[in-house]
Amino acid sequence: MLSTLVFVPLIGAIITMFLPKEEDRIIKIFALLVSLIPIVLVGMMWLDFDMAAAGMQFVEKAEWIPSLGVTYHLGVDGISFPLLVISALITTMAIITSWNIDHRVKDFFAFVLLLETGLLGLFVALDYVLFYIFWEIVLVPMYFLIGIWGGPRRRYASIKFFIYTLLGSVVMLVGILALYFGSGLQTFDILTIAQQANLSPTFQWWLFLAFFLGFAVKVPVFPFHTWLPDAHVEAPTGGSMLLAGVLLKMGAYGFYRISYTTFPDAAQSFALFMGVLGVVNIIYGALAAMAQEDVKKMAAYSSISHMGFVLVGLAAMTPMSMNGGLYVLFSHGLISPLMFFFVGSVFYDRTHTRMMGELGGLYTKIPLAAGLLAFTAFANLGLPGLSGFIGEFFTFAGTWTELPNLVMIAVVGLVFTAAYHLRMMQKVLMGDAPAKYDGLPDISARELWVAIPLMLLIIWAGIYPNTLLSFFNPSVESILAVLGVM
Amino acid sequence: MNVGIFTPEIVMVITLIVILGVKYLAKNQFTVGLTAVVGLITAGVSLAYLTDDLGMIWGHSFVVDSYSIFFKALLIGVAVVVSVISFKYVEEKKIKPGEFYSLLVASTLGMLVMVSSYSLVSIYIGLELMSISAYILIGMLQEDKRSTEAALKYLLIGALTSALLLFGVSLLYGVTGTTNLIQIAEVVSSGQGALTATAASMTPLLMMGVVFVLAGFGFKVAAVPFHMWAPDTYEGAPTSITAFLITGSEAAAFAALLRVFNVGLSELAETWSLLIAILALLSMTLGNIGALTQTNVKRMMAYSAIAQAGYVLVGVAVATQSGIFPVLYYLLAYAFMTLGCFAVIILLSNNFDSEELDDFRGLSEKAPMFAAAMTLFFLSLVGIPPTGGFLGKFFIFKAAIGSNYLWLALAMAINSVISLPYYYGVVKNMYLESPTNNMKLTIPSELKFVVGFSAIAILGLGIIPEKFINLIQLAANFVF
Repeated sequence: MLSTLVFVPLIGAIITMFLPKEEDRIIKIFALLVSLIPIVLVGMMWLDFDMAAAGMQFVEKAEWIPSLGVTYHLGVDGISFPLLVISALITTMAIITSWNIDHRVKDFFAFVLLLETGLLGLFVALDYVLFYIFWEIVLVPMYFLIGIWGGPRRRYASIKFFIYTLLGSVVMLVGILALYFGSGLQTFDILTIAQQANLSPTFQWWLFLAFFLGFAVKVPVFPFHTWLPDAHVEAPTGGSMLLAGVLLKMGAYGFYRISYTTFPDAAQSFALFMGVLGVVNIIYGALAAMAQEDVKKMAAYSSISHMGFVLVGLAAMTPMSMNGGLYVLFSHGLISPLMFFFVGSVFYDRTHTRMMGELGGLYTKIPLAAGLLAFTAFANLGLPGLSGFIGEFFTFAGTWTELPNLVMIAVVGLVFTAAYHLRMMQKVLMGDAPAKYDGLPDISARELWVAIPLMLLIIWAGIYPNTLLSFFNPSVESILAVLGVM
Repeated sequence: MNVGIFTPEIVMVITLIVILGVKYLAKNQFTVGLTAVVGLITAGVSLAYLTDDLGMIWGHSFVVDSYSIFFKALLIGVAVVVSVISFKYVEEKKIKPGEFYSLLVASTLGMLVMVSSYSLVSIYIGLELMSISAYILIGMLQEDKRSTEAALKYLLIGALTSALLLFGVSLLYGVTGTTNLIQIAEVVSSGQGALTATAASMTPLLMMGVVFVLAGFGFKVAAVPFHMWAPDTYEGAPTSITAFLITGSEAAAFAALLRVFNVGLSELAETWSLLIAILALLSMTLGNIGALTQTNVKRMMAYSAIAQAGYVLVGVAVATQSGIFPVLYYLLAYAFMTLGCFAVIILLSNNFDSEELDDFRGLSEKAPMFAAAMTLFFLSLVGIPPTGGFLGKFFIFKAAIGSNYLWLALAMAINSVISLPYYYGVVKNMYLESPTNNMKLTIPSELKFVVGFSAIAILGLGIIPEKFINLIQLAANFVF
């Protein structure tokens, strides 16, 4: 099941490469159909998923490179399953969003599908070598998506993205090998090493640091974040959606899956450090977002700010805060692609600008699209009743008992968050519309196909958190048991 | 005396003579090239019959074992590919085909002798045959001054190298009274040598011998600080010969180096290991930094080759049993990546008559499969999975960390990142820039074959490595 899930997009990408070059429409429809298959498979897995179990499900295990102890080991638990949902869903949404790509169409959709294989594979890989391979596979198509179809500064943004991530990941690779030798178990299996390795606290500390660098670049944690605004702004909108919706989750996922379960002692000593960095992310991201003129850049800094919540949640190590962190991941995976979709595609395609100064009064011109953007902005700033609120509330409530000082500072960030969203809405939607925006068409049916499903999920996750929490909670509790907190 | 041991070498000699005859009879150049390919493949096939009578000859100075068979197969394969990608190139550049292919075979013959040698003297003979043929091959572009300069540089430095190597050999012989590697090892460990001195008094002379021998091989693999000739020579030489030197000559030199240091001088491992580690660090760092500013793709690949030699040297530095296997794996993967890259470079060289990085502009639109393959080769050279280059680096990493060379592994990791921008420059030109002209490329089918085969091999080495691992492990066990 999981192998099919992971490799269907890859096969689709290969077939796409052999479709006739001129038939843009056929290529797009084919890519869309292929991307629907993982959604169906994830749906079928949902029905079979055992909510009560904390361990891995749908496990597949086979020998791969026995002389090294590398296995082909896939599995999914309550932490990774919601991320699979996000990956499958956002890929399809990104494909629909990219319908108006007309330059090198074949390559574009092949890269998007290849990216999906990397993402799905990463979230189910349970072997370090496999994990690392998928981690790197994600890098290559994303580089090309930014580099070929991106904005004016695409060359700079794409290589910056590549170098930052590669630097983080090679340090992680050294960490993986050190772990392999240090554990003495002759295996690269993530679960086996987590359960059986007896690592001294000092060794754990170094390994935690090596993995931290790899994950921190991806999250991104301040001060490793500078690639993100460039990459987000220059990427084509479909690419930005995947970048914000799914790629940013890779690092945080790594903390949950690897760092906390394998280096529990080091995690304890790093906790405060991560919490402080998380608060810096929240405040710094929000302040930077407030200073932006470019709406897309604002959304990019808002992503940095939101990832700070996850770090704070991880730092507090209470059931509620850890669940809250995962909730923020999921919710941000829905809201941020929607945000990029509106500012980068719906509004930009009509007005051909993303500068707040040039926009204005769009409520009067395209009321439906404007209303939906307002919905997205409210979801992103954490309005109760929508998914963003639940994640932030849980994170802060769970953190209060452990690190009250951090929460008090971080809450200030919420004010800034509200401020920059309201400022954006005021500048883009309110006021007098320039005359050139007369007669703009309102949101189209294709665009609604992207917006409506995501909005429904945001509302659902906002009013009935139990669905997701029942996925997260058993796995979170087992992590906390390893950490010795529970 | 079992002459059968020499079957591949004998086939090569016959091929060499036949090529010189065919040169006068054949109407077109293609026939000459084909003769070379057929002869080389016959020699390659004859390797399969060697496995049953593994043995040695001439008082243990020439052996056939899995280790030498692995390298012979690799080197003959490299020679075949180099001949095939030269077909069109030789014609375009008006190189004399008879001389070109016969010298190519002669040079390969020298390499085969090197990898089978268990004696310092026969290693030296093989090395000289390889090098002298190469001096002429490099200068074969008679109308191009750079080619002559390259040949002269390689000749002068090569002569110096030989002198250094011979001096080192003479020191080792003077101390131990033998040139045979196994006997050297016995003398070194027992302390009973020609000078009937104690082990302690032997050490300074032995160390000097080690340093000179290492310098000699260091020149051949273009390790920093013995690399000054490499950029000019690799840039000026005919493109296919550059590929031949980077893959074949380097692999043969590494094969002999491993044998000399692990069989003959393994007792002194503690000292030479650190020396080689320093060479490795210098080579990869300076090679990668040097490559950053190049505008000529051959020159860039020359610096890249220096850096890659540094990665291999990391494996040599920890060449206990755990280090030999990674070196072999990496050299195999490296041969495929480099030959694939050069097949693409030759395609451009045939069409544009130059080898500048700007020639790559818009290649992804003109020849999408070649651009994709080139990207794959570069990903493999950087060490991104799932390619053979990744696993090769991974094994070297693993060996380095396993032997407490963590700093060297870290340096290697950082170097992978430093190497990224210059490979990226080519990929950027291929994908992000538009073509400078609308000239349609003529693509010979043999280049398609070589590039396709290399790409599949790179992916195979990265995705289904277990078969290769077993084979190479077998070869690695035989180094002693």
